[in-house]
Amino acid sequence: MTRSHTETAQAWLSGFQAEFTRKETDLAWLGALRNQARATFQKQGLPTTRTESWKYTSLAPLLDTEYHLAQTEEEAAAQPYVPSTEGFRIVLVNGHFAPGLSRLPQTEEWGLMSLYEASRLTPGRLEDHLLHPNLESGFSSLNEAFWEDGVFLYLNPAAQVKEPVWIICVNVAHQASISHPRLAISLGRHSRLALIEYHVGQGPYLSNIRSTIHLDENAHLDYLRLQCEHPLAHHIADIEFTQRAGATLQSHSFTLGGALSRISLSTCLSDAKASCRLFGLMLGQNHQHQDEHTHIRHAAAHTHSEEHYRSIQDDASHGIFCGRIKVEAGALQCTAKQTSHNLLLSPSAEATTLPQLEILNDDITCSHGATVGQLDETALFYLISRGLDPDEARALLKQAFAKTILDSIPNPALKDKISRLIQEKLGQPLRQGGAHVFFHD
Amino acid sequence: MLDIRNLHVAIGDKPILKGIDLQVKPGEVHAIMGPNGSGKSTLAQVLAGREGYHITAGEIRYEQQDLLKLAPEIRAREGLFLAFQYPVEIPGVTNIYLLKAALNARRKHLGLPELDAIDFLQLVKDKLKLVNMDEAFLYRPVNEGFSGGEKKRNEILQMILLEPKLALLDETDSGLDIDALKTVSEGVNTMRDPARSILLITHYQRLLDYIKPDVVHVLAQGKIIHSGGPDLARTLEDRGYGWLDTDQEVAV
Ligand SMILES: Nc1ncnc2c1ncn2[C@@H]1O[C@H](COP(=O)(O)OP(=O)(O)OP(=O)(O)O)[C@@H](O)[C@H]1O
Ligand SMILES: [Mg+2]
Repeated sequence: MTRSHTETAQAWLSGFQAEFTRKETDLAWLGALRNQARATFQKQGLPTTRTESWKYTSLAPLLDTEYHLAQTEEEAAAQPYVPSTEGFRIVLVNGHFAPGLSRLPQTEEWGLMSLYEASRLTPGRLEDHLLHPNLESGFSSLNEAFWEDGVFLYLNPAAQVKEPVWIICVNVAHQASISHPRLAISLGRHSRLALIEYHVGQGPYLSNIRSTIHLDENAHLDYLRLQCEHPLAHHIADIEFTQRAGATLQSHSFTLGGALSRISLSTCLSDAKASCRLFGLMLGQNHQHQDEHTHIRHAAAHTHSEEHYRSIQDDASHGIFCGRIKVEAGALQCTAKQTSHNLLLSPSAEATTLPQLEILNDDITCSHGATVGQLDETALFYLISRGLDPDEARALLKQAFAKTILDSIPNPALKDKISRLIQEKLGQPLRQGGAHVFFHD
Repeated sequence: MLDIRNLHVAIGDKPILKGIDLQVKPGEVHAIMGPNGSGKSTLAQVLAGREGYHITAGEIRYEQQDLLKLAPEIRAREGLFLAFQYPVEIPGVTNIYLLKAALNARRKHLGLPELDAIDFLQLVKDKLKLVNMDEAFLYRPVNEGFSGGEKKRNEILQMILLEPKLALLDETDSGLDIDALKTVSEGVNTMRDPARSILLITHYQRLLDYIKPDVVHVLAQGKIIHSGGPDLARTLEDRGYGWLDTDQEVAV
């Protein structure tokens, strides 16, 4: 007997939905939001390969797994995965807030707290942010319906946060478990923030993250995400930016870990002079599957976007980059630039790159370019002919390929650390676990 | 130093080198001239160890070793250096990184201590002066955006830094202006040493005015068809290669 995909998704869901406990303690509006999300999920189901934007990513490995809802975990068990960072940070373990591992600020200017705390401390502000969710895929709906906890981060107008703020999501899974971290971030007018998101863990978990990040007028955000999930883990992330007039976003997405990773990152440049620069680097090994979909929407005149993604795929891994840019009819005099470069290191590795430009007016400047290639044999021989070890020469060329993305990281200390992390990953075989060791020096 | 006997090389099914014999003794400078497409670069690449060439017959001895059995990086560390006809651009790798990695690979192989950053910088700055290059070139990606002449100078910089025993210069003079030609030649001349051999591939007599060879060979259609003293280059400049082709046909 064949089941429809919504039935399949329902059956899959029934494995863990009974374990969900938060609902009883929710505020009324939050409970209503969850119910609405669950109803939406019932109609949507999970995406299938017949869904255009999921064409290259089969969810069979997930659907074949019986997940439990991730339970709270001793902080001590998560501690080894938490990098030593300076400044403020919030740590979620299995999707639950870990106060002992977090360092939260005490200030009027801005706030960083667990999402659940926020629903008690500042329900009005939170409601403003969470209301009217855009539940585009079944995963967003699931997250919205089942998040146990998450992060609420807000900056009051003109707040300037000096040190980078870290959001660290750790999963420690003893059995197949699913967590739904929900990140809600709001930058007031003329405020400024550097945010680093780090994903790491141990075991066969599925982390289904959803972030909504709002940049009010002239706010500036340096956003950097580092996906270093465990090799058995699956990482699904839906990141949704909205940018008001003059707001500027710089985003760096590093995808290194996980068996299956799907990141959907979108931004809406809703008012004049909003601009974004999106960078990405994917490194695939073994059978890793890495899918990144970006969507930039130019909804107003004089908005600007620039996007550079690179991918290095080895062994039998598959990297997918799909960059959608939509320029609305009224969005005159915009600029949009996109590049996607892909390096294949093995005959079984695969790279798919899909620029999707939908431009509804003539008064814009737009360019895009995509390449898929292999290591330059001539360059390799040149290096070796100078006495360099062939393995070293190969690692050097791979690093050189990644360099333009790394060089665009604005924070020098972070750039240095991530460069070394990438270097290590490109120079030697995949290590178990994440990059946490790396950040401990 | 170098002893090539009856070397036959094919690319795919196509024979390119058809029986090369060449002996170079320590301290000698040999020039190889010959028409376009005759196989000069092929010979240089085979000596450096590039893949994709089939050695169908013959042997090459370098310093009493079977050269063809040595991996290209070992050849380099053993003192064989090829200045490429077309130096390769490598975005994302800085010149100084390559220079230091190359020198230290060679030093390590020779059992010498590796140079640290400070000693290396001092050394490379001295060498830069010899080829009249600005220090800024050290921090640029290897050959990327270099002019033709700058690329050639950069090859010479690598050579004088690595102090090879056998230097192969594949048309290092092509595309140089008069001053650059002089600088490059001076760079090569500082390398002349009774223990070092140099093989110059060139189309022009002019280079040989600066670097006087001991022997000049003519390579045509995959064979050395003629060898002579330094005057041969001038004769070729005046008369071209036609008269030699005829000789060869007669000889066959
Ligand atoms: N990869 C290749 N595949 C097929 N033929 C090749 C390849 N590389 C070189 N050849 C051929 O081998 C022959 C010799 O080339 P080579 O580059 O050695 O000539 P050359 O003497 O250095 O010429 P030039 O003076 O123009 O530099 C040429 O006919 C060339 O087309
Ligand atoms: Mg040539």
